[in-house]
Order: sequence, then structure tokens, then C-alpha cells
Amino acid sequence: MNTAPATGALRHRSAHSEIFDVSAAERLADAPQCLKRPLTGRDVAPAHAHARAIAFENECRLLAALHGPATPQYVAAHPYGDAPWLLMEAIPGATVADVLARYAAEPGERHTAEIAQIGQAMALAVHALHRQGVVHHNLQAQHIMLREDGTAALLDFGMAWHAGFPDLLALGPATKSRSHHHTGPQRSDRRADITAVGRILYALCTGHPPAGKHPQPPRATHAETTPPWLQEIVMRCLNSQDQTGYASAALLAFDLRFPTQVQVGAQGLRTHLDAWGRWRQWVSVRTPSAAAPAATLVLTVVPSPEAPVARHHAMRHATQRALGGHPNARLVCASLHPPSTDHSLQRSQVIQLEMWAAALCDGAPPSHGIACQPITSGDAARSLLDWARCLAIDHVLIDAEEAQWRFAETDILRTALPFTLTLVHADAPL
Amino acid sequence: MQLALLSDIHGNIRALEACLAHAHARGANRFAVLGDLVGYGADPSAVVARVQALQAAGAVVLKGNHDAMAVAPPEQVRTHGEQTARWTHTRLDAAQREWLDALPLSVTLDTLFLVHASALAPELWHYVYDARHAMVSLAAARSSAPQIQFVFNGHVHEQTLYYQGLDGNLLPFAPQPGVAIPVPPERLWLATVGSVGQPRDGRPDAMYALLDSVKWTLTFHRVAYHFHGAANDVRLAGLPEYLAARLERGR
Repeated sequence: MNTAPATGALRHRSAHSEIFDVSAAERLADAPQCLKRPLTGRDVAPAHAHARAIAFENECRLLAALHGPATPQYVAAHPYGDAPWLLMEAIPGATVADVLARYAAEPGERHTAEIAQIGQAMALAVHALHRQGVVHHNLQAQHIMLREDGTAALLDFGMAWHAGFPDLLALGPATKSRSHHHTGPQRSDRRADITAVGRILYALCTGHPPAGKHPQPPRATHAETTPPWLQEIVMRCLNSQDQTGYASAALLAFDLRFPTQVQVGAQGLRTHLDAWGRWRQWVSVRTPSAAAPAATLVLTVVPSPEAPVARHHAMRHATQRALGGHPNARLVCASLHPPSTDHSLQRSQVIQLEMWAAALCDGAPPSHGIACQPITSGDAARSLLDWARCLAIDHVLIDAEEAQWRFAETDILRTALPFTLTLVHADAPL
Repeated sequence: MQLALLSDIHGNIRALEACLAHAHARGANRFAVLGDLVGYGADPSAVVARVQALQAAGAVVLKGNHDAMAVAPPEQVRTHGEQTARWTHTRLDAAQREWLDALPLSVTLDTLFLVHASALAPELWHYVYDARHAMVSLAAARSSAPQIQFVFNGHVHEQTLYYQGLDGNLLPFAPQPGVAIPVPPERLWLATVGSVGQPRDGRPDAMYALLDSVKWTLTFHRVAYHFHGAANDVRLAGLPEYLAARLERGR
């Protein structure tokens, strides 16, 4: 099908494209849809027109290959000829650019919790993309939609890279050496997207994007709404090419969700950029680490305090083995409880988890990389899996006996899980 | 059309059967064999018979350099290929040799051009092992038939997709097995589909490619098969140990 559906009102116009509404009669499926057309013809210099056409073709083929709520659902496209078009899901909601505009108009609107929530949503969407082998390479505030349920969807895949597809934006060796075309970081380097999320977080904290390679720390001007842990996270994103940077977007989401376990260093506390910091940043920019080391997020369902010691022992042992002493491993200690409105009970549940986690760290109170999360729900099994899903957990460990009765009434184990599930038997050899 | 593109079977009936079963299971309804049915491997006669049956059912079959060599083995033996060509010659009956000899060097299917080696003078068996030679092969195919958008080659025993980068020049891409790569007919493509019966990229799995001309995707496949069995067949046939061992190492 090469003919575009008839379009309605112009919904949005950017420097590169126009997005139109599509009437219900013209839709190719039930969901609300919109039609994207790249700007061509007299608006565009011929030198840019070709690159723009290829970028649009790239976006169409990538969107067709992507799935899940982190990207608009692809419906149909014809990226060739005089009037190329792309029909896709219209995602309701505001963009992160709208949030920035709101903060600019009303500085009192800026809240740490909202920034962290938006940051977590962006990081999880980026992680969902990376898990499908795609790097976005052009993340900007206006390319990120915030859905009503708090999740984010990423738009504009013109510059994106797919691990399984030939890169249409690549240049041959001869042209590459002649041109001033800067491809920036390696096309396969996912840290480019993490840096971009960091730039957006920086703008959310301060109202403007980070200037140059040595931006002022956000706390220099916005200490009230940027606590040290948030600045630490933002600076780690901006230094993602460095050894201290985030190895995956899931680790960034983890830190934004569980700020108390973030290890705040000098870069988190700094309120101005001294000569030493400038020098250090210069060094870190010049010595990027070769490849992002692997990251793993583990969720352990901690048995109830009444469970036999052997079961606790087996769970601790299995948890330590799953973490493997890796610096990029993170742990969520979770416990399952029936719903309750008693706050003191919830507090004691957290303390119990912290004590359990302390035993993992040779008795020291858990700090860096370990979060404690009681889960209260009528459907504990479903909630556990929802939690694991929305934290982008790689590996869930649960006591085998507990799993047996928790999952007895459900068909959860028959559905495709986005993580590895380990059933830990108390009497199995350790 | 779901077109299975198989090349360089090299007398390996086990690898051929595994690839055909794999392709059938994925809905292949058209087959093309891009030459080198025989040479090196232990079962040239069985492979020829199987491919003749495919041809009778509508498959496109092309001639490769080893097929030509098996029909008319060289007087002087300098390579393993030439050595097995003499042996292969004796294992084929006269009718099979005649059939091999009559195979075409290239075939055009609408916008597809199929040829064993480079489309530039196919009878000279030039290898397409980099972007420059891919460009030459593609240009030669398009000069004979301007509607050509796809050229499929065998001969090099490796799977590579050559595509147009931002500046229009061809670039090589190493495909991941099993990934359906979009190959819209609005662009130019050249693929070397790999070798069914004698992989040389360090993996012993058989190779072939599947073109979906409805969705316009190209999927490069790797197929597990009993390569130890194929290697033992080579040993039992009394062929050089080197040819057996390379099936097990994929080298």
C-alpha cells in the first residue's frame, strides 16, 4: 500500500516533519493514529534533503521492528517517493519539553519527586529500547512522551541504530575521510542514550541544558530542588563514557527509584565547579572506557521471618551467587504482604528487609546498590511480577516452597517472563 | 514468494537436507540453488539427484565452478578442489554430468539476479569478497537488465549483505542469523548467501538465506546438522582428511 490515508488537522510541526491527525474512518486499526510526513521540497536545502529522506526511511523500518509501550506502535509506512509518510499510534499526553516549559513559566512547579519520576520513566523506556538492540542517538525532551500512567514513550527514530540491520546512515570509508560529518560516539554504544537522558535530567533540574563539557553542577543554582543524590545521578549520566558512568539505563532507573542507596560522592555534593573538578572532568572525557560492562538487576523475595533458618540461609547464598560480587549488580530485597493501611507495619516490614540485607553485607547496614521494597497486594504473585517488570529486573529469586503456593492459583509461570526466575530449594546443595 | 537461496552444497547431502527441512518449516515455496552442487563432499550423486527433484518442482539451479570442474576435470591436479573433481567425475553418471553441464550461469527473476560468482563475466568465477567487487557485480547485473535491484551470489562461503550507505556507496554488513532484515526493493542489494555444505567462517552450521518478497525481508539462517557424520562420510569415501576436518571446524 503506497497511498497515505487522508489526513486531518496538523497536530505538530517540527524543523524536520509534520504530524497530522488521522480520522477514525481512515485508520488502519482501532487505536488513535497519526500520520508523520518529513518536510521536503522548497523548505529543505538539497544537501539535507537526501540525508533527511534516509533518516525517515530509517525511522520507518526501525519502528516496524520495535514493539512494546516504550515506542509508538507502527501501522504502515511508505518512506519513498515525493510524499513519504508513516502511520503510527498517536500517543496522548505531554512531552518532556512541555514539562520544561511549565518549569520555566512557573519555577515553583519544579519538584524533585517529579523529576525523579520522569527520569525513571525515560530510563526504563530507553532500557526497553536497548533490550531490543536499538540505540536512539537523538533523545531530546521533545522526543519523549509522558503517558498518563507515568511511563514514557520515545519518538523520532531517524538517527537510531539497530543491531540486526545494516546502518543506512553509515558512510563508506572514502566519503568518511572527506566529510565533516561527525558520527559522534560509536553507533552501537548505548551510553550515548544514557548521556542524553542525563542532559534532559540536567535541564529538568536547572531549566537549561548543560553547557559545554564542564557544566556547573545543578546545585550551584538549584540546590533546593536538586538533592545531592539527584546531582550524583545526573553527573554520572553526563559522564557515562567514564568508568563511573551507568552501564545500563536500568541501573539509572534503579537509582532514581531508590535514591537512599545511591552512593553520593564529591560530584553529587559539589555546588560549584573548581579547577580540580574541571581538570578531572577533562581527564574523564579524554579517557573513555572501552565498552560498557555488563549490568545485572536482581530481585530476591525474602522469606517471612517465621520461615526456617535453612530457607533464609539458602536464599542469601543464592542471592550472593546471583550478584556475583559484580560492581554493576543491584539488588532489590522484596517481601510480599497482604494489603494494609497501617504505616507502622509498613515501616517494620522495611526494617526487617534491611536487617535481612545487612546479613548479606556481613552485618553492615546495606547502603550502596541494595534497595528494600515490601510489596503489599491482594494478588501478591501478580504484583511481584509487575514490580520486577517495571524495575527492569533481570533475575528474580524466590523460595521454592513459597513459589509453589504463591503461584498455585495463577498461570503466570506459563506466560513469557522478561527475566530469569530461580526457585531456591532450602535442602538443595549450596 | 518465500525464496530459499542455497549455494555451495559441495556434495554434502546431510547439510542440504537439513537446510531444505529448515526452509520448508519457514514457509519456503520457491528454491534457488546458486551453483557448486558438487566438489569436496562425499555424496555428489545424491546431491545432484536431490537438486534435480527440486528443479522438477520449479527450482532455479545454476552452475558453479566446481560443477564445471566435475564435468571436465583438469589434467593437472594442483588443489584439493581439482583433486576431488576427478573423484566426483567418476561418482556421477553420464546423465548427471550432462545435466550439470547444461546448467545456466545466471538467471533473472523479475528484479532478482542470481549468479554463482560475480555477475561480471560469470564464467570467470570472480569472487565477491568486498564492497568494491560487490559494486562491480551489481553494476554488471544492472547493465544486462536495468530493473535488477537484488543480486544474489554464492562462491565466497560467507554470509554478507552489501547495502547502500548514506552516500550511496555499497557497504558490507555481517548479518545476525535469524534476523529478518528489511530489504525494500527501492534500494539496491547484493547478498552472498553463504555455503550450505562447507562453511568457512569458523562455525560448522550450514548456511542459507530466505527472501520474503511480500514483506521484502531477507533472513540469513544457520542450520545445525550432523557435521561429524558428513566429515566421516568424507573419510569413508577416501577423500583427504583435510576436507573432513574442515567440516567439523567450519574452516
